[in-house]
Formats: sequence, structure tokens, C-alpha cells
Amino acid sequence: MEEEPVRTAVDRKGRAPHTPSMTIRHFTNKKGWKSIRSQVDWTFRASAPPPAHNPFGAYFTTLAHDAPKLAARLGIPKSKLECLFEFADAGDLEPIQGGRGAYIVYSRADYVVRRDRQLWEGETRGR
Amino acid sequence: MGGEDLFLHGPVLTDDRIFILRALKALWPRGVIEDALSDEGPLPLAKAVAQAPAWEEVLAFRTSSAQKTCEKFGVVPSLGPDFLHLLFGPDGLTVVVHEAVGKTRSFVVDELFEGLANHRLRSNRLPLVA
Repeated sequence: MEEEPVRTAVDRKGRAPHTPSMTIRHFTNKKGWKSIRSQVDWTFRASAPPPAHNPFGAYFTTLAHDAPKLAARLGIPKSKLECLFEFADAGDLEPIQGGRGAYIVYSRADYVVRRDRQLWEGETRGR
Repeated sequence: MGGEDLFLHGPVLTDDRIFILRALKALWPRGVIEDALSDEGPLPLAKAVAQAPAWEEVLAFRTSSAQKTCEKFGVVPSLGPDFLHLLFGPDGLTVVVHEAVGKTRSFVVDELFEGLANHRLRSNRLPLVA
């Protein structure tokens, strides 16, 4: 019998390569959440936040909301962890260069998630 | 996601870790580091140099005050010069910087990566550059 992969533990530590079967997450603040959830299809806008940044794009993670030291590892303020979108991966997101590519992926342009891939959205504390 | 991921090819061996920790301590004498993959608290760099913990992901701060700021608020803009995120992978070293220009970024590019490449040369290991 084939062994079932332990996805939660792998996701939380973020040491496994990103695979198409994973849940993809986007953390944002309340303002961003309201804007994205107002549409039937979620659209995540590509951007290049200052000061130091990776390539222009829409960024996502495979790490869950309860991963250790999440804000530090994602390089964001805790206020950006307020709300969360989760959706099924379609295998079309690229890992970023380097070690964080194990748990951070991105799209070079705005990224649309249609309803059939949407899994969960809401305030992170309710997850 | 925040920060810019700078990458240096080549596996990070134990003596590389010690070199990196010593370089960090020279930059931030009152600095602290912590394991990014656990809920454990910070360790002063002075102790870390002696212990050389085999953590896969390390959060490094200029002071314990900067570490507390990160713990409470996450990576806020004012933390940029005082914070580095290091990932030790089988393929290389990743250092996430949070400032476009400045002393901390210059340290990573000009001292840490350059110094590590020279350290590897002195150890008779092939130079592996990005």
C-alpha cells in the first residue's frame, strides 16, 4: 500500500518542493481581503513592494497560518497576516529563487483564481 | 512577500556556517539569532558562534530589541537594516535582505558572499558563484 504523504507537516516547515497538489495561500490585510473577495473570481494583483524586492509579481505561499515565525519568514508585517485566501494549486506558479522557493511561489502577472479552485477565505484568526 | 532573496551557489558546510556566524557577529556584536522553524527564542551571536547550531533557517537581528520588534509586529519597514533571514540549503545559501541600499545589504553582497567564496577557495573548495 502506498504511504500517504504528510502534507501538513511538510507545508508548515516548508522544506518540501512546491508540488501541484498543494494548497496555495495568500495573506493580506483587511482592506486587501475585502477588495479581492468582492469578485466571484479572485484576482491577485502583481506588484513590487519597496524597498528591496524580488521580481514584479503576485506572491503566494504554501505555509499555513500557524507555521512558526510566519511573518518573519515571509518578510511581511503581522498586519498583513490578518486575512487569508486558500486555493488549489494549478501548477502554474513559479518558485522564487533560493531557499524560500520551497514555500514561496509567484505569478509574473495578475493572477486569477476561478471559483472551482477557491477553498477558503476569511479572517485568519477564524481558520 | 517581502525582501529580496540573494543566492550563493554551493552547499553550506559546517565551517561555512561558522564563517557566516563570525561575520554576522562582527557586523552586529550585540546581535541575536533564532531558529526560524521552531518556536524557540533567540540566542546571542556570541554563543551561537561557539555552538554553530545546525538550523536550516536562521533569523538574525542586530539587537535583541530588533528581535522583539519582529516578534511583535513582523517585518515592518523600520526593521529593514536590522534583520536578515538566512536559509542553508543543499544547493546554496540564501540571504533575504530588506533594504534596497545600505550597510546591511552591502555586508551581504560585499563581505558575506565575497568572503565565503574566498573562504571556500582557501579551504581548497571550488569557487561557486551565482
